[in-house]
Amino acid sequence: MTSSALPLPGDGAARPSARAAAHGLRVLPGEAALEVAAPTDAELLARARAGDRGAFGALVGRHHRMLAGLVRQRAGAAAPVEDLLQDVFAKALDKLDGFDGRAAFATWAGAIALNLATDWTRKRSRRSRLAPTSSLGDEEPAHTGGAAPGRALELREEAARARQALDALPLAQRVAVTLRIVEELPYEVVAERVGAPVTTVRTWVSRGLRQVREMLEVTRDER
Amino acid sequence: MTNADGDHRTPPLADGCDARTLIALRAASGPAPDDDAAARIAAGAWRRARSPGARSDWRRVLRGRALRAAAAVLVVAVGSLGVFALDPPAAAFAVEGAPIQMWKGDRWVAARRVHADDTALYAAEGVRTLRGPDGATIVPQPGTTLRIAKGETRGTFRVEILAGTAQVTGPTLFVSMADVDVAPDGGDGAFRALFVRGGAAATGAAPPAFPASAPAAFARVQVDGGSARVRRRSTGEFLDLTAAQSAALLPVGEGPGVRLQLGRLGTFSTDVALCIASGSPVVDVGRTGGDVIAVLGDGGGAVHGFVIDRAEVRFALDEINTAMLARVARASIDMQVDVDVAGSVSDDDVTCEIRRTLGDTSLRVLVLRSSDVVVESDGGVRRYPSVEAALAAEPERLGALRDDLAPR
Repeated sequence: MTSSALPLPGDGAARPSARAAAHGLRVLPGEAALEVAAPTDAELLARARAGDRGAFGALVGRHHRMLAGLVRQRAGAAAPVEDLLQDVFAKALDKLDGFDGRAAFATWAGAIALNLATDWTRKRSRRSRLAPTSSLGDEEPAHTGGAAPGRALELREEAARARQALDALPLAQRVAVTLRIVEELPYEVVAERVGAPVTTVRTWVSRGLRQVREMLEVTRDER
Repeated sequence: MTNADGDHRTPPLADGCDARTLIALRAASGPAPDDDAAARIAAGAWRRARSPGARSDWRRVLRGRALRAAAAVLVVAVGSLGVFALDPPAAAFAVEGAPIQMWKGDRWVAARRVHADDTALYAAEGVRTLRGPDGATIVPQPGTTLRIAKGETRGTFRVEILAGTAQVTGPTLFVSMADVDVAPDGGDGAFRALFVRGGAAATGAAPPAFPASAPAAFARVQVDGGSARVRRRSTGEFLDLTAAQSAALLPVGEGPGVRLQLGRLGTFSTDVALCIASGSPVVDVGRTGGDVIAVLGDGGGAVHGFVIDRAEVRFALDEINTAMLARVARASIDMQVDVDVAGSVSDDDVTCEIRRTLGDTSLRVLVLRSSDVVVESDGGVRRYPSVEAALAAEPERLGALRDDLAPR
């Protein structure tokens, strides 16, 4: 089975094994008789450049979770994530000719996502200055999982600290932390996504987590 | 947070990611998009990219190679003009080690990256290094308040020390304290200097209520590597320092007439003591960064400062007392208290200090951690084992301070 024959997310009903492949994973025994190599980002990009909508859908399926995380990290929980991600991928599609492959697609698209999220935050800030609404209406909903009010407030503060710590990380490291910790992907897959050796990715994630922890310790000390 | 391909996940807690960090990171990143989100996003993005008015239309217009080349030349030209016409964005300093506190207008916020935008920064407890884009470093000691801004020339930075002590390394860092500017001399990269502004070194336990400047008197710079020119903006006077040389803003005059003068710093020695004994006027004694500095005039209008070795403070003060300048005597009595109290008592040993003027008498009371109480008045120093003992021994003098002295 060749990679080009795979049904891909975005094409419609994709089988679980194909979705796993689109994530850069290998199909488990029992689901398919043979190990199936997923198309790389470069292959999908080449096909998307040629107008292959399915390949573009596969790219989206592979990266949208991580990019959604980045958008929320920069713009907060109130950001219209799907809308912004449509812009991110539209922009990426528009600029594919200028993407030279020196950086990994995840990092390149991550930069676009963070820029658009920043723009959205600025626009919202300008709007709220011009036409202030009630503080309750402006308050950012937190992804607190239905925690008690006190704990929800604490969690919101800690999420803000975590965002601050993530903002201080280089982009590739931030993408690696998001893929590993938020999306829970294996190191091998994270390494492939960011185009770095597994050992480097392990170091990035470890250091990134340490920085977030230290920032949270500051929060705790300030209480 | 779920992932559609959960079968290959490994528990992130195994990465050394504690539950609190994991929860905070996931709260910061929000919930995962649902399983159908990818299809919706892909369809919407495809539509937006191909819709009329999208950038791709402009790209199609510019499909001709010649037109693209012309557009590229135009973009490069405009971009180049922009580079010269606009200031570059404020460069960032990475904070290595403990985070630094950044002033946000009404509160301090911990930061691991600071921009050269003149924001006040405060170093609380812990050790950290601020590393600039060219590798230049600033190591502020706990209790230090500073600002970093872009310098006058491209690639340089202006570091303003408001209070505390900082070690600065790198030829692109121009440091100012009060109205003194310190400019590295030459770009050999060897410039390294220590800057001290304020009295005894602060502990840095908690940030101040707002960014505040320490007094300018006795602010000093010590060049440890390379060379630098130290210049006062207000008067234009300057000194050139090489490695192992120091200078400070030294007070001259008394009371409201006191003014500051830039002078070199040396080490207090027997020779200096002989100069004092033979009549060189001692014009002031003060404390900076935990050191005691004696200021001597040379009779010709210039002043020199001498850092007194901590082990030599008693001897030096005796010499200075011998000079019998009233103002210096008063200053030395201040020092005497510290020396008598514990031989080398530090500010950390003092839990409470009270100064009062009662009639014609100036009174100073120190309560030490050991519960001892030291009372200084009328040029004398007395020590008691407790507040109660001090009150019993000097009821008239200390009675008015009873409430202030009561343990809290």
